[in-house]
Amino acid sequence: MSTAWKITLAIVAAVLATFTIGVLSGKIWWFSEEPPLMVVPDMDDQFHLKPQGEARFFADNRAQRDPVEGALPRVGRAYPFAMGDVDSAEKYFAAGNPLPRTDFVLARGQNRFNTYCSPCHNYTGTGDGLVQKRGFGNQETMNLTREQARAYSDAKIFHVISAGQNIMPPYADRISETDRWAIVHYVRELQQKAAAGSTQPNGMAAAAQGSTHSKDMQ
Amino acid sequence: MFSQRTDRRLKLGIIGGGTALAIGALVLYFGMRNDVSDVGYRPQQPVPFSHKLHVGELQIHCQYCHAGVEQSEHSPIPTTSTCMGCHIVIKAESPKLQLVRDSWEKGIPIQWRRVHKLPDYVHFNHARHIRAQIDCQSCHGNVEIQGVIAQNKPLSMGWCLDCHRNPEKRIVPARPISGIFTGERLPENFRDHLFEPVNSNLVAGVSARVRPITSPQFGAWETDIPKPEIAGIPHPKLPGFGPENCSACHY
Ligand code: HEC
Ligand code: HEC
Ligand code: HEC
Ligand code: HEC
Ligand code: HEC
Ligand code: HEC
Repeated sequence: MSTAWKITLAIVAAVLATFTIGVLSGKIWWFSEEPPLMVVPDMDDQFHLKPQGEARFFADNRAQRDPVEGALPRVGRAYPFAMGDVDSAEKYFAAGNPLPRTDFVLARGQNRFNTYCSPCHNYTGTGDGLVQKRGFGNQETMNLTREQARAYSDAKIFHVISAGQNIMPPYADRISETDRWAIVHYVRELQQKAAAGSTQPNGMAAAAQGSTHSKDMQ
Repeated sequence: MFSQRTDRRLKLGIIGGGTALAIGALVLYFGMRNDVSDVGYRPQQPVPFSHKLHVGELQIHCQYCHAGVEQSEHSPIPTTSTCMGCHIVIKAESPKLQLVRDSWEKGIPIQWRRVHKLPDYVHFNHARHIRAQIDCQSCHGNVEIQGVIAQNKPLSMGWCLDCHRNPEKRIVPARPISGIFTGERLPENFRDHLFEPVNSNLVAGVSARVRPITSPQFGAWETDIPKPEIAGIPHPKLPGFGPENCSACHY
């Protein structure tokens, strides 16, 4: 064997060795669509049902069954009013927001608002969120800081979050009642900030008539 | 005893067989470790859903879809109605969403392929980690840049314990995009820093604030749990060391 061959062989062997060590130590890896190989299955898959899992026992393969008629949630309660039934909601929640308006509640409100509302209503509540910009709804009616929306009662905002409105989906299933009231506090704060912002250059009177603000929006 | 040829063959055979066995054993031993066999598992999903689009570009927070990780052990995969909240209007005709629409009309859930899976003899609790302001990124990698989701971390016992022992090095503190509540208002300019930790020195100095609750060899530690201020709003806590005693995870 010539030296050239030996050197080539040595290089190939070194590359192969590095590759093998890299793979075996987990430093080199690639994507795979195959489920991980299970040589010794241990007790990895036991005979019990998991949330959102599969159950061959039922015809539709769902481990998670729908609650029976009349079942009550263990935490919280189902929202009683249908979409658009603002009057009943306003009557029922006439007492307004049960949460105190503290920094902590506002922080929670901001956190939940950013999570659930900002894709559509934007972080400032002005209705031009990134999803809205892709063609969801109409920014005019989604603007929570416009004059008309500032006049809504707490109960109405709570109702819209819980039951939805037209194409806005309901969130009662994902946001707890307490958190929804925290969001209402935060929406109020956004509205106050927007009101202050739009009045500063033009004085209080203009804002009272709503002219400057609605022009901004067009 | 043997002819010279057979002798050479036998020697070669023994050396060769031994090497093959050794390599086989090494490959079996290391190849079965999670960071070799599990990392990179990226199954094709029934719907071409992209975290890169929805999280990276549209800035939909993780908890918008995975709502409930804050309160429960399990982090739920979103229901069809969550998708349809937007897709009833957006791309309402798209062929890529045909399955979602079918599911919506017929009431049959979409069968997503599961990516992350611990063995059934381990109990992992999301809520516990989220409440300690540990970001999803610590355990799921950079989801917001993945078109199809893959397993990025080994999810082995060594990996869990590694973080439980050295939280300072392993924890990515909560980022706004994950929707993890930190108990405080975000800074004014948070919109420019959605993908960065809010409080980057969250974990600094853990050892100073935890106390062992059993003799330390059992590895159970205690940190202060803040009192809830308002019933119904969880009060986040500072992360301490995670547990190392077997019964914390295997029960
Ligand atoms: C999927 C997008 C989307 C999300 C997310 C969303 N909304 Fe809406 N919202 C809308 C649309 C669209 C409208 C306008 C409905 C209409 O035309 O009546 C609306 C209307 C409203 C209104 C009534 C405004 C008015 O003047 O009638 C309120 C209040 C409101 N949203 C609050 C919220 C809050 C609070 C959240 C977070 C929990 C939220 N929305 C999340 C899309 C959304
Ligand atoms: C628009 C809704 C949506 C958002 C926002 C979202 N996800 Fe998901 N996520 C899904 C869906 C649907 C699946 C199941 C399909 C799949 O695996 O791709 C999923 C799957 C996952 C999985 C894999 C689950 C498994 O099977 O093991 C992880 C991990 C995950 N998401 C983490 C995140 C994180 C972290 C974020 C925030 C950065 C996030 N998701 C934001 C909808 C969403
Ligand atoms: C908050 C709103 C929102 C939610 C919730 C949402 N999406 Fe989307 N989705 C969008 C937007 C916006 C686009 C991008 C449309 C565009 O490209 O202009 C999109 C695009 C898509 C596309 C690509 C469609 C195409 O034809 O290019 C798929 C597939 C998709 N989403 C699946 C899902 C699934 C599955 C879910 C449920 C887990 C979901 N989405 C939840 C807003 C949402
Ligand atoms: C401390 C590590 C850790 C953190 C932080 C974490 N996860 Fe997970 N996640 C896991 C593990 C481990 C699993 C596998 C659980 C199992 O198999 O029981 C998992 C599973 C999941 C799944 C799939 C659940 C299923 O059963 O299909 C989703 C979705 C998910 N995580 C989303 C998230 C989101 C969103 C966040 C942030 C809010 C998050 N995770 C934070 C470790 C973590
Ligand atoms: C990125 C770091 C990290 C990873 C990875 C991680 N943990 Fe943890 N875990 C923690 C921290 C920090 C705590 C302590 C939380 C606290 O202080 O409240 C904890 C707490 C726990 C607890 C709560 C114990 C109790 O007293 O109730 C369990 C159980 C647990 N972890 C299991 C796991 C398992 C199983 C895995 C692997 C699949 C895992 N963890 C991965 C950081 C991590
Ligand atoms: C932080 C959580 C955690 C703690 C504490 C923990 N384990 Fe584990 N253990 C795991 C996880 C996760 C796995 C699964 C690893 C995998 O997927 O292969 C595991 C797997 C195992 C296995 C099976 C290994 C295999 O490959 O078959 C054994 C045996 C085991 N653990 C024993 C123990 C003992 C003994 C202790 C106490 C000294 C302990 N564990 C403490 C999380 C933990």
